[in-house]
Amino acid sequence: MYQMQPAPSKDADLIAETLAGQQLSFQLLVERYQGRLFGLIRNYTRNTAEVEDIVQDAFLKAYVKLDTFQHQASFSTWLQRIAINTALDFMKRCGRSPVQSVEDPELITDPRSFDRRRMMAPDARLQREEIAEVTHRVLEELPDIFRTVIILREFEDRAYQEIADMLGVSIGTVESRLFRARARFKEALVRMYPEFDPNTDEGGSIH
Amino acid sequence: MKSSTCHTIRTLVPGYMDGELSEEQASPLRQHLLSCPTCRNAAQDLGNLSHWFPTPETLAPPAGFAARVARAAFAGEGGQTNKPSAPLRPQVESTPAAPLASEDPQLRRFVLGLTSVAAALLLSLALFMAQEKQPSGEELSAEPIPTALEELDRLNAADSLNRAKGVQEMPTARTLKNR
Repeated sequence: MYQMQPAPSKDADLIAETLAGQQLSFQLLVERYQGRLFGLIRNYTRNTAEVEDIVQDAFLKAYVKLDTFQHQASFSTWLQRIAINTALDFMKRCGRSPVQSVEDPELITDPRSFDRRRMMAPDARLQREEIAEVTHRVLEELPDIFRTVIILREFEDRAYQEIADMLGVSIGTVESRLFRARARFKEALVRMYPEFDPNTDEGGSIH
Repeated sequence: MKSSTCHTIRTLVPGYMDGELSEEQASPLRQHLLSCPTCRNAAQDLGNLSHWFPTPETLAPPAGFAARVARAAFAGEGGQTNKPSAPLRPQVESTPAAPLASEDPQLRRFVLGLTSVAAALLLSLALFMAQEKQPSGEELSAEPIPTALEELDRLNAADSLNRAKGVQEMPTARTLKNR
């Protein structure tokens, strides 16, 4: 019988080898996940040098804490959680994070009390980069928990379960947080960019 | 009947738009959206919102990044801190004020000198105030401290008496552990 092509080392093996002092194994782990972390963190800052710093910091933290990694969660999830926290810490240190990071009790909590304000898509004339710039500015206004859940869902296209694992919360919490986050995003968008508010038009024509 | 259906539907709309519903849940919802413009608007709003999140362009890690990070991790192994070995970009606000004095020897000497001058001033002020408010012998004897001492003596005596009688001591961490 043919021997299968040797599979790439499993995360668990690379972790064990790293803990045993194999620098190359850790390098392989970094190589495996660096792309994902760069993609994730670039949603928090548009400055490439900062993305690099944050990702590097996250890997170093992961290395220091590697012996505490419990194999119940996937290494990828664990690593991304560290990266998110590193990014949020970074934003706080730079004074670029809203102070309020708890859920806002005043905000509608029941998805059935649906926001009656309509939402419009970005103007077709806007370039992708312009949209990204507007969105980034609006997201910076949102408390951490809302910004993160929007990033994970909308940009990273992660499933609710994965978001729940990453943030250490239930799926129900992800759903309700996402609902609030989207409402907050809409509210902040039309507040910061009234030109995108379809509800302010005289006559309020909605297409 | 319709409005209660709408309520249920709307709780499911985000999950539906996010592709998180099972086909069993999604199918009746789809049917409802076809017939209900209000719920359809709600779904459309979410769709519009998603246009604000264009897929970002990929950002590739620089060449040699992994090797550099692994080297930094292993180089920092002796000192095991949570600080990265390569510093983050300079941050204006984050410099703590305290270490300044110890870092610059000239500044340190100046601060020490200033501290001793302040200490001398404070001492002479205290001495002057003490001189001014010297209590008389009568006042001294009226101090409440002796009574407090007496009370303490009494308690101590009672305590040693209790011990002699074999009364249990207050439990300490050790006695609790041995139980």
